[in-house]
Amino acid sequence: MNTRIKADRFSTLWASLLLVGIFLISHPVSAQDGPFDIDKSPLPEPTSPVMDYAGVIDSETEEAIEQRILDFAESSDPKVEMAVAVVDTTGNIDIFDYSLAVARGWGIGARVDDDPGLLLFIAIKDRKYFTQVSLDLEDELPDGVVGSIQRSMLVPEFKKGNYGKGIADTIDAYIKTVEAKQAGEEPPFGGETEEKEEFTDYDDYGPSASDIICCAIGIIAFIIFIVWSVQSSNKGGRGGGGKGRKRKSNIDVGEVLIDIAGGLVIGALTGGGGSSSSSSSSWGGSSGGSWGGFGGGGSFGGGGAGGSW
Amino acid sequence: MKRVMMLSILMVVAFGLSGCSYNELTEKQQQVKGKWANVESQLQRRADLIPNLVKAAQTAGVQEQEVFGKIADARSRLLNAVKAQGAGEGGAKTAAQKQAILEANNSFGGTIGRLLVLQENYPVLRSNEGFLKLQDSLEGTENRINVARIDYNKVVTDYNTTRNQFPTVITASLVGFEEEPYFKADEGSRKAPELPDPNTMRESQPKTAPATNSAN
Repeated sequence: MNTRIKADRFSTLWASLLLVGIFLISHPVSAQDGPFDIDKSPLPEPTSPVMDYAGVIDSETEEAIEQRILDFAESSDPKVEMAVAVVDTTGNIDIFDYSLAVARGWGIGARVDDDPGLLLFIAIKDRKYFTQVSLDLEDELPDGVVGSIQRSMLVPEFKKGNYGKGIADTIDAYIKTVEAKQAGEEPPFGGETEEKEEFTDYDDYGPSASDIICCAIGIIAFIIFIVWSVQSSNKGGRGGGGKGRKRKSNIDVGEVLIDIAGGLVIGALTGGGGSSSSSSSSWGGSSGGSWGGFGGGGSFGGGGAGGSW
Repeated sequence: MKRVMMLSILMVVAFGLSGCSYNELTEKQQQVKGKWANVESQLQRRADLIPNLVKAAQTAGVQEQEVFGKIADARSRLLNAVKAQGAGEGGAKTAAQKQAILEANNSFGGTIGRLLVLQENYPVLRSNEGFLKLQDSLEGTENRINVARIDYNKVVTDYNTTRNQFPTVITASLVGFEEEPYFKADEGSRKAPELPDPNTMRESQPKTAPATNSAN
């Protein structure tokens, strides 16, 4: 009898330690970063849709481009956000990766309308350009058209050193193309034979109903097992008196278990329902004068085209 | 009695923890599936675009038979792998099937990079807007594949990390959550390989083409 109790104590201690161990291990310690994160902008938060870090656009042209972009965002339906970023160099990072990081990091694209947006990105000293087109705008601006527009509008002006004009003309051509497509007309820069791609986005899926049911069934089965084993161990009788007290504590166990199980089930139902990220600031508007930032979309999948001059 | 209660509570919590990581696994596996679907559709798109570009290049008189032959082989391998019926649950591709697709994809080697710099070696193509547009499209597809690859690897890292953590790994192996393969970069696809001299692959070509590979 004595040894049995000892062994019992031992196994309880052992089990507790094991469980504590499980809790400790189960906390993930994952913090891996790639060499360059294509989701984080290497540039600071923009204060305008046209950001000229290299200082090659004169202020008048810059304002005109800005106004054109803001007006188009107001008039287009669905609302299209465009942006321009000019830097000196992208360092040793490929202009494609760099501009994608900026487009994603800045969150270009209004959230409400499937995030149509684009970023015209230029690295002056590298003599390279790239336009990132968001997934939703790829139909209106296929890669071939984007490349074609840049070759005919941007490259010739850039070769002459007219950066402002090259950018303004390119943005203008993009706007006209999107406008024509939105109005159902023939775009001015030629159609494209590219077919539409369907993207399935499973990102926002939470746990399915079957998961929750499975989890709940598992927990309930376990509770039944525990309650049953507690009861049967009581029946087996451990020592003599205090029958009333024993029964009372038995009920306590059941209640506590049910409470915990309920909490877990509710947690499974309400928690894990997918992270609904906070809605972002709106485009601002032309009325106030101060610009409200991008829509926060940033769903760029690598569409667009670029080259060098 | 207190001991039994404590133990029971601990066990219930532990079970809830490992049992409910099933949800987490499923959620992360869904993300892997979604990103994989994107990878596959981009690979398919590339396979669809390549013949057009090859045809346009051949029409313009480009004679890179060896490269064209390799591309055709790699393309049919890729298409076969992509079109294979998914053997997994609900027609989904198993990890082994994904691996086969990734290997077929790698068999392109540097051939696509070579297609993308054709215009640098063949001046006649430089003024051919139709060809340039096709090149933009193919380059765009390469870019999309690369982005899809990075995005896919991110969710796979997340999923595999969760799957292989201690209490979860028990659930995972009991219920049959497989480890997902990573999509390793095919360095040759986006950039032309730095081979000795492009002319060594082009015996029948006239010497008019510039021999230097412009820096890209």
